[in-house]
Amino acid sequence: MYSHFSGSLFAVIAQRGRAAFRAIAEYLFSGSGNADVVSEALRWLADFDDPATLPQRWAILQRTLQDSSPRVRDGAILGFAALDDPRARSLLLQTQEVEPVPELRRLIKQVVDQLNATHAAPPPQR
Amino acid sequence: MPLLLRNVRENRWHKSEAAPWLATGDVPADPLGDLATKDNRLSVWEVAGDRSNVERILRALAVNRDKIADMGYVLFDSSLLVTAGIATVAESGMTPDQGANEWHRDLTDLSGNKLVMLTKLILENCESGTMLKKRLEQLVLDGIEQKQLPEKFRSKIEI
Repeated sequence: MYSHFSGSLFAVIAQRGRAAFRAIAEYLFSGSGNADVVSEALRWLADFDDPATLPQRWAILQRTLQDSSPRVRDGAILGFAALDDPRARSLLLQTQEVEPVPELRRLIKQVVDQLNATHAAPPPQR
Repeated sequence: MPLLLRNVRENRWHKSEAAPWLATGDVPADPLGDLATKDNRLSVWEVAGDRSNVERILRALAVNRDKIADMGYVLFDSSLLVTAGIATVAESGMTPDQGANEWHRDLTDLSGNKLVMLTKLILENCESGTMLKKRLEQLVLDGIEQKQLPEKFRSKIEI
């Protein structure tokens, strides 16, 4: 199910580019989206390997870190894990301080640990 | 008694306050979706006392999917099964990791009532977690190097 969902999502983004991101963001921020669908979409959006759309994807993840649904916040945290960009550490640490769900605070710590390791790793050989 | 592991979507198993619409003693329905049975059996994995096999179990489950992805799980004491009147049998797993397959167990003769009771007991007593995709990918590479997994799984790795 997940691979079909992510495959469809990637196909829409590949075909429609930034317009697709605007449409997806509208759904994600509409407040009427299904939390499980939004959570899943956030994880796969982050996984989309396209540096040109990183600012849009980052903005979506950052905003949904504050969502009222713990499931949506879970997807945003895992989205930042998928981005694997150490610049997200300070944002995640700020989020950890106000996150009310213990399991999500623990998940944020895991992601920050991953990003610290990424930051400390030597750059890939070219 | 040993811990048992079941892969789930962790965000369905948070120990947050009960939903206001939920009657006292009742359980939310969503976690039941993570306990899909087949032939009235539920697949679980027995964890070593020092938890040294948790990563290998999760890796075995991860490579069985189309794509490596974050893997949520719950750990619960097998003594809960006594409380729920649920029997266990050792049944070899069906993952590509033969070494991990020996830790597989089936919970048998599950009725609807037993499954709901088990869900309630796990919700109240479990430890939940998520193994991140990047860690799983590293574990898969290690498994290939150690000949615990076939070489073909290298194609599933993005790092």
